[in-house]
Amino acid sequence: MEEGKLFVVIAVLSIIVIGLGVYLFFLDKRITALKKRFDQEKL
Amino acid sequence: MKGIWWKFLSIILLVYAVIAGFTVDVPDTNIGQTMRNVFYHVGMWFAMLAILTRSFIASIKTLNKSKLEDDIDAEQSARVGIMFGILGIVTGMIWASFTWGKPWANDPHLNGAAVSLMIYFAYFILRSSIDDEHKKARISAVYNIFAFVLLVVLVGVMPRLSENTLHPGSKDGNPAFGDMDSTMRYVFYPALVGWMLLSLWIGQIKVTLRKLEFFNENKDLR
Repeated sequence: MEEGKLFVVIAVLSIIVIGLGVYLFFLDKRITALKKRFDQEKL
Repeated sequence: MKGIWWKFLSIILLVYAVIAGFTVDVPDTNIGQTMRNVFYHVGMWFAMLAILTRSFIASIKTLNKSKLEDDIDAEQSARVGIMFGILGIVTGMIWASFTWGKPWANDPHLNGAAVSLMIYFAYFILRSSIDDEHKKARISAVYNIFAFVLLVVLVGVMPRLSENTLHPGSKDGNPAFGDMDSTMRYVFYPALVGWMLLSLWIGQIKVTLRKLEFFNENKDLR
């Protein structure tokens, strides 16, 4: 029973880390695209 | 760093650190299960050191090439470094409440970390007091180089010379590289790498975003 409760915590924390990773990926992608557009305008 | 492989690696290592960090067997000591905090608390300090090293290098580049891009890099990296430093202090305080009975023991490690963060806070106050962008870049780059050297001394050197400390690893070197349980090391080292890569990743996003904002606001400085 105690073991089961611990796995809930591990699952929740893992999902948070994965979610944070996915969020950062999308943010990174959008900002990189913006930067490319900005650099082209500069030229 | 270029590419996305290290970003993937960061998340994989952190997920591993969460799963293994809670399931690995820890030695039976007087601090009990709180020992698992080492995977996350120490990770914050290594993440801070990694991103502040980037800030330090960017400051040297600023003095070398006088480019505002490098100054933005140094500033934003220092911001991310401070964020991880605060997280390091908070996670340490929570841990200390259970193991030492109070959140802030008068310990050279803790005081050194707090003073280092204050030195970095002063870096931002200094920046905000100068209007000319090129002058701001040069003066704050010099300050940042000194701040980093002081950080290494206050966090890495001075506490180890002290005889009166509760913090582990002061007299016999760093416990992470010395007498840590070998099973824990399989989690500890990947966790450190994961946290360091995460801080560099967040730093990269912040730097790119600030450069876009800055050069959009100051088209003449492009």
